[in-house]
Amino acid sequence: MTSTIDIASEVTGWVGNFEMLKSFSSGLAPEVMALRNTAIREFERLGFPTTKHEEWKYTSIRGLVTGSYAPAFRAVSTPLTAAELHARVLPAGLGGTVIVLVNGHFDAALSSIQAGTLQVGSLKAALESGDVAVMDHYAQIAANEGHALVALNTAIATDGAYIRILANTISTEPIMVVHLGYGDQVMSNARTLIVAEHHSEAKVIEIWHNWSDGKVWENHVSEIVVGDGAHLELISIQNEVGEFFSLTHFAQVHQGTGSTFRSTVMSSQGNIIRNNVQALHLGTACNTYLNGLTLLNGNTHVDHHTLVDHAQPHCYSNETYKSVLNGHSTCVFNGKVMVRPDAQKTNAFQSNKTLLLSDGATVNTKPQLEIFADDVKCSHGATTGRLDETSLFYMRSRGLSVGKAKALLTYAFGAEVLAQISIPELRESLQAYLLEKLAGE
Amino acid sequence: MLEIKNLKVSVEDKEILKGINLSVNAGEVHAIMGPNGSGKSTLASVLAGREDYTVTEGTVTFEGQDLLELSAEARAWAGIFLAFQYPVEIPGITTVTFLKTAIEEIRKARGQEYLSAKDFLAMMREKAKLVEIDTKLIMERSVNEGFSGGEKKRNEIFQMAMLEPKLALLDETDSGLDIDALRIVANGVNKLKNANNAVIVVTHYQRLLDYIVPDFVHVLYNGRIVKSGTKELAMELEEKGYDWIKAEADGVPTV
Repeated sequence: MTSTIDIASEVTGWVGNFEMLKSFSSGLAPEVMALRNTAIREFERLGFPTTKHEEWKYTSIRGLVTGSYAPAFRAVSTPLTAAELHARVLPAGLGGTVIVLVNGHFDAALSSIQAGTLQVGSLKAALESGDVAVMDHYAQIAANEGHALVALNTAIATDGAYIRILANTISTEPIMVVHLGYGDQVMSNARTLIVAEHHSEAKVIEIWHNWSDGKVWENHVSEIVVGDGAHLELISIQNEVGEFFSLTHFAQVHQGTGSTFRSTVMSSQGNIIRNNVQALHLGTACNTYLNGLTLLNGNTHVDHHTLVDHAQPHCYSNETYKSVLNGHSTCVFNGKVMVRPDAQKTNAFQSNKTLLLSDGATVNTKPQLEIFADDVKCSHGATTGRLDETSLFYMRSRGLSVGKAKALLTYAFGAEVLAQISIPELRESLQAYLLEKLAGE
Repeated sequence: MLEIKNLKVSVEDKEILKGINLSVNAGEVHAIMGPNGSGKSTLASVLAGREDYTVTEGTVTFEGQDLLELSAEARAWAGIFLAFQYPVEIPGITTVTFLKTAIEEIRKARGQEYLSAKDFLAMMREKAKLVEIDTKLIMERSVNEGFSGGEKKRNEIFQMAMLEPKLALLDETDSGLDIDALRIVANGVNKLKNANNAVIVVTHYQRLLDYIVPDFVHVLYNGRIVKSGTKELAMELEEKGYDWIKAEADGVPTV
């Protein structure tokens, strides 16, 4: 039982951190401080999740909790230049607004903001300015209750990214948010707030990157509002994080009537990566697409938890999560679809497919459909296996070598997920990345 | 070109082919007919290199090479093509990408020059026209995904046209085709036929042979070729069915 004791004492340490943080967050409004106080009490009550917790059964963060990570309360500067950022971190061929957070702190020198119909920048600055649009949503979307890591984030998040797309406007160029880790034994707690106002349209690319050889743990919360008739696409790239990067990310989305939210996450590196995406339908006729491609090797552990909360009638959701696992990697997929009594005419589909390329790789998949309405169409499917022998023979009989046939089949398996990304340059660069990774295996 | 001698093949200890002898020369069309379960498709699959089968005896020589020693892909490089009875769907890859990769691999293996994208495209358009296949089907859609039965078979013949095999094995290419699709597929095969290549048509029915006229017809029954002849044999089978052949082979006198 020592593990429980270890983790409990770590909680005390983090509550201590909270007290320390208070001393240098004087610029915050009293209502924000009140939110933080409530959140730290909730965190204290819950403690860090262990594998005894149903939602954390297959993902242990014990190594992170007891790993002597120190909170990144202060901004640090990196030797990285804006030119290097463009050449080595950002996807090729894309311009537009770039928000860079280093250990969760907004970095003005590396960021480039093109305002126009957007309001983008540091979340801390927006909070300090008392912006009404921020205060309406900040810590109102993602619930602290029952979510220890969200509560911890609410209590100690120092900064983050704020993106507001004004009503009835279209942001043609994607907005990029770079989460850069830098240092060793660092834990950053930052937050993203995206407000796509009614009938607006935007695409946001989140790039996770570790710009150091050190251990970095990002505990991130994203609060996302997709207003009535708005379209928001979010692409999260977790490819170049190295083996010492860990992420616990909780994204909560609120969707208004007739809105569309589309999310695609590509993960291929890291130590422990946990992605939670939860979409709640607050209006009718919402569309939600949640997609993920996980391509792992080594000892990387990636956990995708999704929840689509069909609380309103006539909504549609579709989830496609695929993984290709090699080495001793592990992938978890837990996809919950809730269809509430009022949500008649719901269409909800979910699919989780895994290719196991080695004997040492593991997948844990758990589809959860909870349906309380009777006039609905819901389905889920999960498959785990190796490459189809008949397909391989078909390809070989046309002259493809075994290696080429396997790589092409695996590529096709994964590319289907990437095909849903609507930004051509990004889609192509991720497909090229996939091809390159497979060719190397 | 192809010499099969006393070929015996088993699947999970069950003997399917019990001593096949067959000789195919360049420029010839051979039809292999026979009732269901006689081993026709097994023969086609074994020649193409499918690994689910165990060859227990016999030899297969293709242009002087021991075919049984070669992997499925090496047989394709040597010039063998199998048109599948049930073409496989490959989601996520267009036929064009698939064939481009196949041709690259084949040329690399043969030590031939790389085919430029421009030449590949020109060749593709020419062959698509030849086998009357919609280029959208092969350029925009994933291999066979959501294709009708006829479209899948046409895509097989299109791929054959692109790969220009020396020996084409058509495994029940007529199954599931209506008469128009059958005619188009057969026309494609006939246009590709020349003095330097050969075709083995595996079929249950005679109707495909109205369009692809065979030089030789072999009847496979119970793992053996029990009768060989010319196209007239196919006509006879169409008229009288397989029972008389079975009776002859089983040594039971016909009534």
